[in-house]
Amino acid sequence: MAASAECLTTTGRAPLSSGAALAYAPRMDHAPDDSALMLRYKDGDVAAFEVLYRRHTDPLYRYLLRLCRHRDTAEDIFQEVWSKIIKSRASYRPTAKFSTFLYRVAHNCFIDHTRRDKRHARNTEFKPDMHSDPGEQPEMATERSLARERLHVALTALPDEQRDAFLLREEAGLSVDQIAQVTGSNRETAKSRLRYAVNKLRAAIDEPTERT
Amino acid sequence: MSNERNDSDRLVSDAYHELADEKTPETLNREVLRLAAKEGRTRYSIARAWMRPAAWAATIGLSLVVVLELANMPESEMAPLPQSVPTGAAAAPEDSDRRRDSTDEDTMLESQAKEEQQDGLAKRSRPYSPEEQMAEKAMMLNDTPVVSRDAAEDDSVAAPSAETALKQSARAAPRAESFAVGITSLRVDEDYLCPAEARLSAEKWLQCIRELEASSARELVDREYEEFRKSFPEFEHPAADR
Repeated sequence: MAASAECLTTTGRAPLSSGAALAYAPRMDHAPDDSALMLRYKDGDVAAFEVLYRRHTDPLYRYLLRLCRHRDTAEDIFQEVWSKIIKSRASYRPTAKFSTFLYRVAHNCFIDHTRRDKRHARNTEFKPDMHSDPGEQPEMATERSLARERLHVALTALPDEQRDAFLLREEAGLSVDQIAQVTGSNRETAKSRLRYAVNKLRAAIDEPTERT
Repeated sequence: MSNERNDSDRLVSDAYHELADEKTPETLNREVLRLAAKEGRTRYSIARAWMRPAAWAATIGLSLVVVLELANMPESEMAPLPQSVPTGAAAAPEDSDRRRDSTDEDTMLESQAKEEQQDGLAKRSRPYSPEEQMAEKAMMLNDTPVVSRDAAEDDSVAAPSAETALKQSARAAPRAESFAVGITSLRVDEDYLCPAEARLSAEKWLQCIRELEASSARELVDREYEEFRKSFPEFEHPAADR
């Protein structure tokens, strides 16, 4: 999971207003957890929401981008997800991990979008930047670039459920149980989907090596 | 989750993270944060912004009202309430003793006052004795000193004081003399003139009658003689005594 302390410093100012109630914060020497930030935002602390947003924005964006395979759609769903999070703050209860709550909302938004837009399956215009390290040797750079492209293609070719499970683990850092909770499936199903996805991607990565 | 991941998983994971390094566009960030700030401030921050000054204003206003009420209150209403007597163990022993003494004194004074009041009422309700009536009437007519009512109550003292008053009134004026005769007739009816022990012996009784003659109370003397003869019909008294 990419959510980390560096997100706290991206705003360039004190991450939390000093006057805000710190009742939910477990310890002062550590960054408050996501649920505490959400509860503080529920009480009107906008700065707390900004900290929370900076923690989760990039992983969520990548999750939606690779899940939707279309940039504009991903951005629309991204905005919709955060809008729902903002509007649901009054009823928010820290009963589960915030990332589970966030990705469950994102998953549901994606499902709603695919139901509304039947063209979703053909909408695969997203291409990642295949940049290479400037100091890298040309042959190695070419091989690495090809591997990335194969991985991208393999990831795009995965069924939505398998891709969803893989992205939830890699971007959100969720466990099998949490993936099952987000996707609304049982644990074995989630584990099976994840195993299939990993095996396919591993095969795609290893393909050139096997050829040589 | 860590034991679920094997080497294959780590290889795929590393390859994926090399591939995936996209960042959220800044336009999206601004849009979401603007929405969050708008929603957050509209519902809660604005409410908090006016609630705190309103609470302060209400507190100050209430304090002023209370102060003004206390300032306008008359002093009689501000007098301290009477202290209630603490009960049982709440009161100190010395205080309770002192309080007990004071209450005993109070009850004694109260009982004395009641007794005096009852005595006064009893005296007023009791009919005056003839001596008292006589003395009072004599005083009213001749401005003579009044024999006290308490002294007149005692029977042993009553007769001489009444006689004194009678003598004084007789000497004062003719009206008083005629009034004294009326009074003495009242005393004859009640056998006041000669005492009972004098009546036991004929000689003593006669001596008493002679003394009455000396005081020129003729009617009284005649009545005493009538009584004497009834009691001692066989007694031979000198001719001078009839």
